[in-house]
Amino acid sequence: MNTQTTEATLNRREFLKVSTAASTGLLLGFYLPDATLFPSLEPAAVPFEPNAWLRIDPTGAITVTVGKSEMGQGVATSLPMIVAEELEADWKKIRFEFAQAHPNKYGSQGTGGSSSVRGSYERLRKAGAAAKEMLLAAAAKRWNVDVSECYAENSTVIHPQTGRKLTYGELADAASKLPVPESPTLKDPKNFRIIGTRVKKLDTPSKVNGTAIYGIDVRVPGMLFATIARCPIFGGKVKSYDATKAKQVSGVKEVVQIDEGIAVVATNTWAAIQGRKALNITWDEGQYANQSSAAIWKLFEETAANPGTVEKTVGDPASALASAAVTLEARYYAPLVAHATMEPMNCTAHVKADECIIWVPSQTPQRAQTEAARITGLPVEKVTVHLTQLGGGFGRRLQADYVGEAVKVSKAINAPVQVVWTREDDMMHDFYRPCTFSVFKAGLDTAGNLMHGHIVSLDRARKGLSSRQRYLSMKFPTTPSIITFWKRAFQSERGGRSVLRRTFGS
Amino acid sequence: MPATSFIVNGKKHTVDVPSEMPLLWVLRDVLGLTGTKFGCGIAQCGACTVHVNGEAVRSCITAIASCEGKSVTTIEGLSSNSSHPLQKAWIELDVPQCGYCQSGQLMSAAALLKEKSKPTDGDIDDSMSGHICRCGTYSRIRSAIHLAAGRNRP
Repeated sequence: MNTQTTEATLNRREFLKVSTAASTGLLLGFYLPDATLFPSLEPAAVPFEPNAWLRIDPTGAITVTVGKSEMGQGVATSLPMIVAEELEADWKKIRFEFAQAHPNKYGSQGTGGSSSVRGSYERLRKAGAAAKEMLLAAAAKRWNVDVSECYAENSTVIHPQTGRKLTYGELADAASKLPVPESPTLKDPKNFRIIGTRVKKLDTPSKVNGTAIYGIDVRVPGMLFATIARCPIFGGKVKSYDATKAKQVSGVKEVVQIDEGIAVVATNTWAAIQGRKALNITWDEGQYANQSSAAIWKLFEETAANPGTVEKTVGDPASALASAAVTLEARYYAPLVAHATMEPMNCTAHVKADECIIWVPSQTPQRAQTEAARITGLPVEKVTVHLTQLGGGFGRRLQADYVGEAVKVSKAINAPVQVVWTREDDMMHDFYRPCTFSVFKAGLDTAGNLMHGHIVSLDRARKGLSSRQRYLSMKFPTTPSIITFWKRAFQSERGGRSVLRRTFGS
Repeated sequence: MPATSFIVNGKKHTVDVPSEMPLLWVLRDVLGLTGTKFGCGIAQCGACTVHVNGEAVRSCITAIASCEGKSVTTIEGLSSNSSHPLQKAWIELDVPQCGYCQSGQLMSAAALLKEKSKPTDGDIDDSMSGHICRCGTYSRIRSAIHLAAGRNRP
C-alpha cells in the first residue's frame, strides 16, 4: 500500500520540520489529559515516531494524529482508540493532534458519510501494531532475550521469566532506531480491551472550559476580521459599490472586492459587520432575479403532470390498483434547507509571497489546500492547512467556498484575516439540501394495507451543473421520475430501498 | 468614544470601543476570550451566554456600555480548573459532541443552579429552552444538571 510506504519513509528531519511549522502557529486540537502525567521532556530525548499516526515521547506520552475532522461524531477519540488497542497503550497516556492537510500522507482526510472508523480501521491498527512490535524488539534487544519471551501491556514491555519491565517511554529512543515492520501481526479481536468499550472522549474537558479551539477562535498576531457582502440573489454579481460610509465605521480598515462580493476588513468582527451594513452596493442580480420558492413549486407541479421516465416498475401494479378498495394521493414539498452548523462558516488565511497558511474548520482539509494553491498560484506543498475543531459539519464543510474567500481577502490586503459568516449569511448562501416535489398515490385494500404505490418525483437537475448550481436547485428536470410498485413484490425485491433512495435522493 | 471599565473573571479591564459594541465581540476580539461563542447575533441560540453580575445574559445583544462597573463571568471564569460541579458532571456524562454550544449551555445551567439548587425537569427545560444544540445533546445536558445538583450541598 502506497500510504504505508510514505508513512514509513517519513524521516525525522521532515517530521521535525512539520512539527516546528505547526508550533509556530497555534497549537490546535491539542489536549493534555493531565499535565502531571507528562513531566517536561529531557532535552536530549528523541521521540519514537514510527509512522504518520503516532508519536511516543520519552516521557511516555503518546500522541495520535487524527487524520479526520472532529465535528461532534467523536473521531478525536475513536481513531486514537484503534491505535491504542494495537499498541497495547495505557489509555490514560493517549492524547491527540489533528493532522495538517497533506496530499497523501494520511490518505483521504475528507470526513463524511460515517466512513472515518471504517475507512481508517485497518490502517490505524497496523500503525499501532507496528509500533508495538518495535517496542517489543527494543526491549528484547536490551535484555538480550528472544522477543517471543516478551509481551506488551499497558504501555509496558514485560519479560515474565525474569519479571523485568520497561515502559514505552523508556524504550522510545531505542525503538526509534529499529526498522519499521511491513506486515505487523494484528490482535485477535476477542482480545480487544479498548475497542468496543465506552471510554471518555479525549476532547470533552476542553469543551467545558472554553479551551477547545474552533476555526472562529483562531487568533494570529496581526490578524484582521472580515465579513463579505454577497449578492442576495443566487448567481448575482456586484455591479458597482460605494464604500465611503463603510470606511467611516470605527474599526474598519479596508474594503476590497473579490469574486464573491465586497469584503469589509476591520479590527474586530463586529466592526466588519457594521461596515458591511454601511456599504452601498448595486447588484447585477443575474438570470435568477425573479426566481422564488413559489415559482419553483409551480414549475414542479406543472412538470409532474408530464409523462415521466419510469425508473422502476415492480410486480403488477395495474392489477393491484384494480383490486384496491381505496386510493389516496398526497403531495410532498421538501424545501431548500440550510445545514445551519452552530459555528458559522469561517476561515483564517495568511497569504504571503512564498506561502499560504490556513486555519479552518473543514471536512476536507485537502480540498482547502488545493483551493488555496489554485487561487494563490503556489504549489500545494507551500500551503499549510491547520485543522481546528468543527462546530458542526453536516456536509456543509465539505465545500471550500469559504476557504477561497479568506484566501482572496488575505491576498488582497496582504495580511492575515479571518472571514466570518454571520447567521444570516449562513442561511442565505448555503449549499442547500435540494428542494424536491413528489406525488404519492397509494391503493389500499379493505383492511387498509398498501397494495399499490405510484410515486412521481422531481428533484434538482444534476447533470452538467457546478455543485453550487446543483445545491441551489437552479435548474430542474423537465420529466418526472416515476416508480410504480406492487407492495409485496417491491418488498421482496432486493435493493428496493436503495432504488427509492437513488431516485429521490437521500 | 467613551472607555468602558468592567471586571471579567475577576480582572479589571478598560476597553476603548464604541459604546454599542456587543459584549460578545469585546470578549472575543478585544480581550481574546474565545470560549464565549458567536452563533446568531440576535439572542436566539444561547451560544454567547455569560453572567453579568451573576445573571445569565446573551452577550451578543448586550451593549458594552451597559457593563460599566459590572462583573462579567465567562466560561473561562466559571472555575479556575474545571472544578465547577456542572463541569465535572459534563465530563462524567460526556455531554458535548461538537461542543460549540456548550459554553453557553453551562453558563445558563450555572445561573439556574444558583437560583434553584435542586431543579426539576420542568425548571431545567424552562431555563435552558433558549439554547440550541445542533448535535442534540439536550437529554445529556438535563441529566448532567441533575447530576451536578445532586452534589450541591443544600
